Parts: sequence; structure tokens; C-alpha cells
Amino acid sequence: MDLECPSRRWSVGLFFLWGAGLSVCLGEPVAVSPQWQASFPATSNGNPSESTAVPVSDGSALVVVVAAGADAASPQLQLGKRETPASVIGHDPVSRLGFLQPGGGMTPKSMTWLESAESNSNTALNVLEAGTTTKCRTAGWVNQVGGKILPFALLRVNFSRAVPPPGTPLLDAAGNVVAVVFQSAGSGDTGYAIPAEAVHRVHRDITTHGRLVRGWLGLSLRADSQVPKIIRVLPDSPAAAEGVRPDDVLLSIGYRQIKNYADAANAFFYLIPGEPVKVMVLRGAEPLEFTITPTKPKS
Amino acid sequence: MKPTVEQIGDLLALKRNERPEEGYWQDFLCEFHHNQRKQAAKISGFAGLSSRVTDWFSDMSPTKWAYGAGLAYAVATAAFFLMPREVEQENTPGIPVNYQVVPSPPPVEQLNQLDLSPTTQGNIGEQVF
Repeated sequence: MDLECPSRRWSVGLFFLWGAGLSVCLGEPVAVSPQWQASFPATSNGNPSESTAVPVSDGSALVVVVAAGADAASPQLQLGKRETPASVIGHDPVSRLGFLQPGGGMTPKSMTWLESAESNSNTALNVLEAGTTTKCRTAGWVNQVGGKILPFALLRVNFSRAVPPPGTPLLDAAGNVVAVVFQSAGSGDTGYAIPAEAVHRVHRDITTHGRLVRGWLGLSLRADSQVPKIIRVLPDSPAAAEGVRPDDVLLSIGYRQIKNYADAANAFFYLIPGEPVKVMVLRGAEPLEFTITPTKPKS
Repeated sequence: MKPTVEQIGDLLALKRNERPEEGYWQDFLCEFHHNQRKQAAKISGFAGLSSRVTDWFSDMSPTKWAYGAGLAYAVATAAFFLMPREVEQENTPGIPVNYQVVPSPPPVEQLNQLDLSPTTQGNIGEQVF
């Protein structure tokens, strides 16, 4: 090729420039930049908090993480540096997730969410923070911290930089939201993230009931027991109706394997009233399977 | 009535023929020495103490001496076997007492809400789901 010709030289240069741009675009996940930010004032004895707001799957709302001690009912929403009116769809104190509806005719662009982060418990993810992308890696599940069993399991995430703000979405290679950052683990660049299935679980109840409604089976377990053994089966409960007995040991609830009490507590979080779930127990040496339909908790 | 000279002479002749019983003088001598030591024991101070000790030992019969000697021998033998030997103590390697106070773990709590602050308290014991 004769590059002495100026026009050809320009053509080759533009070709390389286009190729470089294309490779960058293909190498990074294509996603909506989370420019939504929400801040919450402190309650009487609490602290204010800030969160990145991420559009849910259908773009009907923004999900935020409201730290304990912050007033979830009084959000201040910003799109970039521009303040935007917002209304609170609902807030779940169990998961600390809140859902906001932007006002002023603003509609957030939808993002694609994974149904479950189960297969991403030890994978490389992308952190989408302020329009830039950094790397992180999940390092398994955390269901208890300092001897305290969590209401549901979180993802442990090792970030390449400082832990991003709460609510920051973590994306897989295809650009799907796998989890949102919850908070720092307390030291280094390790943090905890709320998995996508927990967001779906809470969003579902917030939009339909205005609050999280837990499924209830009527089983009691001891939190300090190493074995997920059923201590009592409450009378007139769904579990009693199906024949679950005390001293049965839980093996699985739905697709979740149960190895200890914390696993059971995590699985119980995802129970939905009215939706049957398969419960496998070990009675003596015999595994038994029950299909139990949880109800709303009895007050 | 006054005795006559003949009667007095007969009485003196009778007294001349009187002799103490066998061992009388020995007993008399012992009693004499005993009284003498009792008198000496009343003396205060070291002299009195030694006198009492001497008196105590002199009162002991040969049988008691034998019992005392046997008892002393038994005490000496027991002391010999029971007394800790310095040489063995030196050769025994010292075993350091290695222990640590392990505090009992805090009770496992079930958090009702996702709040990881250290002051958060959950429920302990039986949980109903």
C-alpha cells in the first residue's frame, strides 16, 4: 500500500481509530450509566446516608440502599447534579432497600437484572460507578457477621479500589446487574453486596403490598444450633398440616441447600405467601420431601 | 503414871533392836531428792527450766525411754523419706503452665434487619419461621 498519498494515510489512520474505539466498546459492558443519586437525612439519633439509585428491570422505579439511622421517607434525588423530585414507593427495613419514583416527568432507563446471583458467587464483575467501570470479584456468600445471623445472605466482594457507595450496581460481562453494593466490610477493599434475587423479592412485595410480607411455615429452629434441626412445629401451621415433625433436619428449601441455621434463615427470607415450596428433611436416616405452601405470618 | 526406869530401859532396848524395812533407805533417799528438785524447780529462769527438764527425764522409767527412742526413730525415718530432695528438684525440668482464658463465645443472634453495626442486637434462642 502506498502511504505516501495523504488521503490514504488519513484513511488508514481513521480505520485504526475506528477499530480501537470498537474494541473498547466491545470490551466494556454496555449499560446505562447510574447517574441517579439519592441522599437521606438522619433520623433523630441516626446518621444521614447516600446511595446510588439503580433503575429496576422495567424502569418503573429506582432502587436505593438506605443505611440504618437514615430517614428513608425523605429522599433527595439527583440526576447528575440536577435535583429531581421523587416519591417513595416503599422501604423495607429488613433489607434496607428503598424504591423511589422520580417525578418531574423523568423516567429512568431500564437495566437488565439477573434473576439470581447464585451462579456469580465467585466471578469477576464490573463496578459501574459515576460513568466509569472498574473491576471487582465476588468471594462467596456471607450469612453471618460477628456471630450475628443475617436475615438473608450477602455477597462478599473484593474491589480493585475503595468500596463504592451503597447502591452501586455490580454487572456481569453481559451488562446484567448481579448485585448492588450494601456497605464496606470494615477493612480494606472488601464489601458486601445485596444479591439481585433479594432486590426482586423485596421489589415484588413493595409494589404489591407496600411492604415486605414474609412467608411463614410454622417451624422453629434454634439460632445457636449447628444443625438445622426443627425444634418445634407450631400447631395449625402449614408445616404441621403437611406432616413435618420436630427433630426433622432440614436438607433443602426450594433450590437452596441447607447446611446450617444461617442457610435456613436465608432460605426462609425468600418464601412467598401462597407459593408452594419443596422442603426436604431428614427424619432419622430417611429423607422426606414435602410441598408446603407458606402463609402470611400469624400475628 | 510415870514409867519406871526399868520400863524405859526395856523400851530403849526394844528400839535398839528396831530396823527399817528393806528398801526404806532407798525410798527415803529418792523422796528426799525429789523434794529437793521440786524446791529447785521453783527457781525461775534457765536454771529452773533445766532443772525441770532434768526432773522430767529422771522421772521416766526405762520402758518409757524405750518407747520414746522408738518414736524418735520412726519420726526420723519418716522425715528422711518424706523430705523433698533438692537434687531431684533441680533435675526435674520445669513445665511452663501454658493456659489462656478463653472467653465464652457470645450467643448467636438472629438479626431481624440488615444492620451490621456492632451495637445492633438480634434475637437469641428459638426462632420461628
